[in-house]
Amino acid sequence: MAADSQSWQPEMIKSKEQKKDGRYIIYYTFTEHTDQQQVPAHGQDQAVTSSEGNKDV
Amino acid sequence: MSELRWHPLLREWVITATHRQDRTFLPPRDYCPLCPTKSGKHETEIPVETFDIAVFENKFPSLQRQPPQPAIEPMGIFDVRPAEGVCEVVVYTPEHDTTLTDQSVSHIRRLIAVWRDRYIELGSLPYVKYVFIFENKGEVIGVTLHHPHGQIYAYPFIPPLMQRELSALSEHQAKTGRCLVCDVLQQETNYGKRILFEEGNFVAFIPFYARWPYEVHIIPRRHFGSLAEITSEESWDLAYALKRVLVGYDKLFGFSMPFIMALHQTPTDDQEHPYYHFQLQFYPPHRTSTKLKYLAGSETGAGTFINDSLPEEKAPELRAVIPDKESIE
Repeated sequence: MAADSQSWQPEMIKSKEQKKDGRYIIYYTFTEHTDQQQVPAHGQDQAVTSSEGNKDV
Repeated sequence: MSELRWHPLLREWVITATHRQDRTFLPPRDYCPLCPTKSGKHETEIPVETFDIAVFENKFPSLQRQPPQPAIEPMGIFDVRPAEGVCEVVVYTPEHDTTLTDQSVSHIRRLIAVWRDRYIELGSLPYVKYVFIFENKGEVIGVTLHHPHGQIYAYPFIPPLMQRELSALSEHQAKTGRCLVCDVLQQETNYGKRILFEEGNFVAFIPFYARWPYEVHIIPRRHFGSLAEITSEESWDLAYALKRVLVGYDKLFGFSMPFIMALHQTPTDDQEHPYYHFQLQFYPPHRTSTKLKYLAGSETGAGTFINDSLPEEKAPELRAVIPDKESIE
């Protein structure tokens, strides 16, 4: 299931917080870059920017 | 209380989740738990005033990261295990009175990015063998909340339908050296009459073997198993394909079409499944504008679907109301 070097890495900010009852909530925020409907060429995608990375739940 | 009980005759797990009887059921609009929390109003599941897309752990999960011990001990052939896993809710938008259909292509692509992220993150958990992303839409499907949202079940096993697909694809690969879904796609495109449209790298069609009258499959031409492997260009193609199918569904009968949407992806069980091929499938229950297909005797009692229609006849109906790429945004 690992992403290969050609796979898409969208530009988004991922913020993970804990709710009062202990459950997590993740807010995904996207930059204007992703609003462009033009098709980016392969290999020119933006990297993920995440406040949590792939932190286990 | 939730637990996994083994069905020895069908060789599959049944999840018991008695606490789900108490889940919120069709609340008034002002008390929607999936709307953002407004200043001075009751606190919802989302304690902020706005967001793009939000994901949180289900309050009434069938599977839990730290599940309770089962209420009963295993006895002989009756196996029981803790219901370990994760259940998440994906809230598509802060806007209550919309659907996925109403979202822009750009926003649908954002949702695909979130699906991709959840697949990778949940799939990396050692006890998660399959990440199932889906949406139940419409009261006739059984939704209890109208706010546009989907769900994710991260199972500690490969669900039976996916296991059957894996076996079929694996055997076909061993026998022919080819991917079964690639071969399905080849036959469907050669025949043509069940094709709805081709959108870049994706093809939408009602398959030869459809179990529901307006069942639609969206499948990539390029062989890949999950959204972890999708390219940027393909993510746009998939977003456009989704938007076109969704708009077509709503135009078909002139109302917001109920459906189940299911993403079939490679298991995350640390095994290699190079033969698997990503699929996005829709199962709408309507067979006409006023009649529903029910899972009755043959379907539920015997496991054999009866489709009251021919995919070759339904595909042109749906194709006629699906918009061109240029007319959507």
